[in-house]
Amino acid sequence: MANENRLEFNEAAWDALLTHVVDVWAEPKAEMIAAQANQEILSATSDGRDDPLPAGKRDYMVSTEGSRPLQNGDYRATVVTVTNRAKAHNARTNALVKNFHLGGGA
Amino acid sequence: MAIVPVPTTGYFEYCPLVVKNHLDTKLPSDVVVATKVPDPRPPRLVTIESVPTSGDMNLALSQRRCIIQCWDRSEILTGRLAEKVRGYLIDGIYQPGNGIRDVIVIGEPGMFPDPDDPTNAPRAQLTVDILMRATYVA
Repeated sequence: MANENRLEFNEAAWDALLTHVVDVWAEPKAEMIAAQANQEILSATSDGRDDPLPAGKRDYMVSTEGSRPLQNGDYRATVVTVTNRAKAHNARTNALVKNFHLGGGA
Repeated sequence: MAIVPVPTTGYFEYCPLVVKNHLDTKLPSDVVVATKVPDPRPPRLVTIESVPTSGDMNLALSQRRCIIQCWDRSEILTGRLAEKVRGYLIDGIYQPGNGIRDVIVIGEPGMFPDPDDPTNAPRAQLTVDILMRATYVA
C-alpha cells in the first residue's frame, strides 16, 4: 500500500524566511563593523582622508548598499571597501578583521 | 627566587607568544618571528598580531584570533613561507603541551601588500583562530 504522506518543501517561504534573517539580523551586525571602520578612517592621518566621497557612498559599506548589491537571497551580508582610501586603510590597519567581533559573532 | 602569582583556575598564555614559540621551533633560523615589524625589517619575517574576537570559552579552552603576516625575498618565497606557517600551525594541534588545542584558518594565505611600504615588498597574510588550552600551575 502506497504511503500517501508527503512533505513539500516551500522554496518561496524558505527564501522569505532567510531574507528576513539577513535583513533584521545580519545587516545590522555588518553595519556595526562598517560604522567602526568608517570612524577609524576619519581619525586616521593617512593621505586621502579628506578626499570627497562619491555621492551616496561611504568608505566601508554593507554589501547590499553597494553599486553591485548582493541579493538577499544569497543569505549573507558583507562589509566591503568602497573607496580606494578604504582599500588602503584596510591594507594598512586590517580594520575589517579587527572589527569583525563587533558584529557579535565569532 | 620571586614567586609570580597565577590564578588558581589557570590562565591562557598570550597567544602570539604561544605561536611564536611554536614557529621558532619549526622555521629556519634566519626567519625572524616577532609581534611587530623590527626596524629595519629583516628579509625573512613573520609577525603575529592578536586581534579581538569573541566565542565560547571555559576554564580550560578559549579562542584567540591572530593576524599573521609574512615577508621573504620574493613574492614566491613569501607565499611559500606563509603556506609553511599555515602548515606548521596545523601541525601544532598535534603537539601536546604547546598550548594549541585547535587551529581554524579563517583567512587563508594571500598577498596583502602594505600600501605604506616604499619598497612595495611582497607581504602575505593569513588569519587564524586558535583554541588555546589553559596553563595550570600545580
